[in-house]
Amino acid sequence: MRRDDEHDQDVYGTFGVRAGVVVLGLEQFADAPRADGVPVVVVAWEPPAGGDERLARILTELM
Amino acid sequence: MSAAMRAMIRADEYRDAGVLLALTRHLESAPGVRRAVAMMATPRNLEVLRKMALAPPQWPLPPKPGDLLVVALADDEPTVIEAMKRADAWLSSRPTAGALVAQGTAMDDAPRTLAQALARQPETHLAVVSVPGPFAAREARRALELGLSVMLVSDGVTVEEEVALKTLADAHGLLVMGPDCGAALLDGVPLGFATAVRRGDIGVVAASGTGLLELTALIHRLGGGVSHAVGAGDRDLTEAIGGRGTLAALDRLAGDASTKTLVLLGRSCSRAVALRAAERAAATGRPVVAHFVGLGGELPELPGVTWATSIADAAWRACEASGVTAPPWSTTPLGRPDYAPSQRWLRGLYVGATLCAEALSRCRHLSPLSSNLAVEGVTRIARFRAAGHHLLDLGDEEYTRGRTHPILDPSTRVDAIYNAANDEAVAVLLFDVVPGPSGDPVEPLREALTAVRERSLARGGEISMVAAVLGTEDGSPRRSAVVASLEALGVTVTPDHATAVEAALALLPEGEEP
Repeated sequence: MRRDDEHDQDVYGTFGVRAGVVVLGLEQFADAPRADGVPVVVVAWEPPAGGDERLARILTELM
Repeated sequence: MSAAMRAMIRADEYRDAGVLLALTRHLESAPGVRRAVAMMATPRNLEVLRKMALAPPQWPLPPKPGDLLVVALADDEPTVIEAMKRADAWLSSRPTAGALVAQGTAMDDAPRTLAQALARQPETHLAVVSVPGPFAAREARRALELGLSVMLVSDGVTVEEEVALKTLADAHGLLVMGPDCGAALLDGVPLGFATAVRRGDIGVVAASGTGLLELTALIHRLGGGVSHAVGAGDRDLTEAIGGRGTLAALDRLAGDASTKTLVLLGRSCSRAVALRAAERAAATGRPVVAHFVGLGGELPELPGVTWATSIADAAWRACEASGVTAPPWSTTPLGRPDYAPSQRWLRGLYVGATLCAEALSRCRHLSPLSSNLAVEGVTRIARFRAAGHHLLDLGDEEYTRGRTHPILDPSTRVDAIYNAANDEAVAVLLFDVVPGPSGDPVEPLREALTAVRERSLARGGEISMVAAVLGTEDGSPRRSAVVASLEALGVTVTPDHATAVEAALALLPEGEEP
C-alpha cells in the first residue's frame, strides 16, 4: 500500500481506486465499482459492543 | 376492520440497512399487510417506532441495541401471524451477516474486519464506509490508520469526529470524503449512488450527493467529461470543518495531469472558507468555475475564478472552459392549470440536500417559506406539512433514522407525496428524481403521483407537478425512459434542476408567483 508512487498512479489512477475498494456496510455499494471492473472486498461487518452506540463511542475515544 | 399488530425480537442478530429494507419490502408485498418495519433495536430506532405508532405496548423481552426487531401491522390476526412466519423464514434462509459477504464467497471466508479485507486485497487504496452513524467514525479511523482513504457515506458522525478524521487524513496524505458523502467518481469509477459519466478533463469537488450527481450528469449531457468528482461532505465548507476535505481534494487534483478545469460546488458554506477554497483552486493555475449554493452577497473578483449562478450554469461554464460548446436547451412555456381557490403553495419533496438548498435559494422571495434545512432567512420546520411554501430534504437525518436513504428506500417520499395529495392548499409539487442503484425510480412513486392528480381534480383543481431528473442516456435506466414515465403521469420535466425551480415558480397561482 505505497502512496504517491508514480507506478501506482499510472496503473491505478490518481486516487488508486482501480487497485481495489473495500466496502464496509451496505453491500450495494460494491456493485458500481465491481461493474466497472474494480476488485471489491466486502467486509461482513457487525457492530461492536453488542450494538451499544454509547459504549462504541467510548471505545472509539479510547482507541 | 380493526388492524392487528405483532412484533418479534431476534436477539443479537445484526443485519445491515439494505437487508432490512429488503425484508420490509418482502413483508409489505403480502396482501393485507399494511405496514412492516425491520430495524435494529437501538434507542433511536425504538423512538422512531413509537413515533410511527408501531411500538407494541409491551415487548416479549426488553430489546437490546444488538437485537433485530420486526414489527408488522396487518388487516387481521391471521395475516399478521403469517407475516411474522414469513419474516422468520426469510431471515432464517439467510445466514447472519451473509448478506454482507462478497457474492459467491462462503461465509467462513468472509473478512470480518478491515485488516482482514486488506490481507486479502493488499493493493486497496479506498474504503467505502456506510455502517450506522455511531460506529462510522471508528471504522473510518481504522481505515485511515491502515493507509486507506475513506468515502464516508454514513451520517450521524459528529463535527468533532469529522475534524479529527480529516486532520488524521491530512497527516497521512489521505482523503476523507464525507460524512454523508453519497456519491463520488474517482479515476472514472462510480462510487456510492454515482453513475458513470464520460471521462474528460473537468475535475469536480462538491459537497456530497445530488449536487455532484446533477453537475456530473449535466457535464456529460453537454458533451463534456469528468476526470474525478470528489465529495467533500456536506459540512466541509463550514467554519467548524474549515474546508479540510475540499482543500485536500484540490491538492490531489492539482497533481492530476488529466484535470484541466476545476469546478467547486458547495452548500452550507462559511463565506471565508468558501473563498479560501476558491483561491486554493485558482492557485492550481487551472480555470475554476465555482458555485456555493445559498451563499448570499456580492462575490469578489478572483483571478481565474468564474462564479456560476446555479449548478446547471456551473456545468455550462465548465464545459465552455474545457472547450466544449453545446447549443442551448429549448424549453416550452408552461400554461397554468385552473387552480381551486384553496391552492396557493409550492411543496418541494427532495431526496437531495444540495438540490433542496438550490431550490430554497431561488425561492427566497416567496413568503412564507419554510424548510427542514437550516438556511438563513427560511423558517425551519421539519414536518411533511406546513402552511406556506415548504421545501423538504427527505435525506436529512431526521427522516433517515432507522432506515436507508430515500434514494434507496422511497417510502418516506411516497408518504410525503400522499400528504401533498391530501393537502388542498398545495398548487405546485416540485421534486428531484435520481435514476440510480435501485432500478426504476418512478415505479415506487407511480401510485402516489397518480393520487396527487386524481385527488386534486376531485377537489375541483389541479396540482402542477414539476421534476428535475438526474442521470444520463448511458445510465440504467436511461434518463429519457425516466422522463417519459414521469411525463405520462402528467409531470413536467425540465432539462436541469434550476430550470425546474423556475418552472415551478412560473406555475404558482397568480398572486403567489414572483
